[in-house]
Amino acid sequence: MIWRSTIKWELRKYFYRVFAIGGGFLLAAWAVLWLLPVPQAHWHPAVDTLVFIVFFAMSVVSVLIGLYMILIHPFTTSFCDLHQATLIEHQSGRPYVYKLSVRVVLNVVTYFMGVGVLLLTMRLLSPFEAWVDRAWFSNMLADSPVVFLPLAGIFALGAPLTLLLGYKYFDIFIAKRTDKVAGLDVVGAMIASGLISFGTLWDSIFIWFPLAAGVTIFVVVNLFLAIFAIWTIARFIDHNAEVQL
Amino acid sequence: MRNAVAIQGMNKKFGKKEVFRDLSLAFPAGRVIGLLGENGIGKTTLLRLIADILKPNNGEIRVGGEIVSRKTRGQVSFMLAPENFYSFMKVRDAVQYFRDFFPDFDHKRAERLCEEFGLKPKEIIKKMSKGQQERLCILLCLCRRVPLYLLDEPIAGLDPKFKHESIKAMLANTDEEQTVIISSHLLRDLETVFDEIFILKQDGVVQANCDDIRAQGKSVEAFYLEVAAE
Repeated sequence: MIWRSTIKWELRKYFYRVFAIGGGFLLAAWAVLWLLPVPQAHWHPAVDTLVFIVFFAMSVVSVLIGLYMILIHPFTTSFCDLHQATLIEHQSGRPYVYKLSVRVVLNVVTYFMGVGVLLLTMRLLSPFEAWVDRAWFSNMLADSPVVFLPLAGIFALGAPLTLLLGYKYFDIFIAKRTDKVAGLDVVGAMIASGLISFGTLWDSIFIWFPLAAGVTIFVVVNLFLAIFAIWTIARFIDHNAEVQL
Repeated sequence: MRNAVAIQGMNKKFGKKEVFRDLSLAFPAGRVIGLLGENGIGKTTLLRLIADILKPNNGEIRVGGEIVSRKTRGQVSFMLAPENFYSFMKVRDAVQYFRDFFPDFDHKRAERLCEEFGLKPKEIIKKMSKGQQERLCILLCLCRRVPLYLLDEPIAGLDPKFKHESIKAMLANTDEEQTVIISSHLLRDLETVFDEIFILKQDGVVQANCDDIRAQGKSVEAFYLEVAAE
């Protein structure tokens, strides 16, 4: 019963955050990319440069959003999430172990989902390589095993660490949350907070970063479509003009 | 007389701030106890220590004769704050969540109290008013069947009608074996509810029987003000 309840509510929270928001954006981006005709040649050098600059700028924004999500988000908002319902679990005499276990399992699942989404995103971007061969996408695509394997290794270590140390420091954590530290063992509380946030940090890396990339792609694709539409209309007008001549 | 809670030589510090020094007291079992004292004196901290949410630096706290531990948590129903729930839960979800976590949870009592408190099962917690959220917290606390209930400022945000309903529910849902410790500043509202009061002061604790206070022709509030002024 407790497992059922914990899984249900953790999943629901994940659903709202990840599947609804991230999934929506990524599906939209995917649909747009799928429908887009694969280009066969470079455009005008000026348009090439403009597209490259836009891609590059959005990539920088994407990285910055990703870094924010990785470095800051887990240590602020996620605390509140963790606090929700943990006191109920604490009162039941089974401190945090259910919620933490479910979260670790979800981390593993979302990790693979995140990697999958990221790879899919990059795969879908491949038709654009003609234009973005100077951007970081190509290198990322080529280096993906080098990038992901060490991260997977660290993650494999991180999950049990989160479970064991987070459990051990639960009391300090809950005291910190309920009493807003008030000069409690601040160092201990910070260590506990950091460790408990470890799982959330992985969510951030493997969900929020691809999500940020997804949003970026969505925006870029829209921009690209607009340029493409203008270019097609211009070519159509030119062509008609030539035919008339 | 049997004690619901016995505290012996307890110290509690938050950094350099000392909240309790060598505190010793015993809350008798089967009574409705008012835990009184000025703001910041440590009423909430004391309730959290009894509920094992906080740990004392020294000394011991016993609940039902056992030193406070994970095991004693099952004997204590601590009233939670609304923010302790997932904000997107509905009333019926919160009830179900409690039912899942606590084997002593009385679901039928919860359904009945939902009606009495005017709480709609399909209502989302974060969309409810502060008073409604507090009613839900009281309801969930009282629907566990345990020897000891801890309520921290339970009626502070309620309108007069629901103050009355909540007090009625507190009295109707606990029997003579069960102990209720209520921390509150609303002494007039709870005047007739308390059997005993414990007033926390900087220099110690004053305990008084409410029947004795009333026999002197005083109200609990008047007595408290006298003690606080000393």
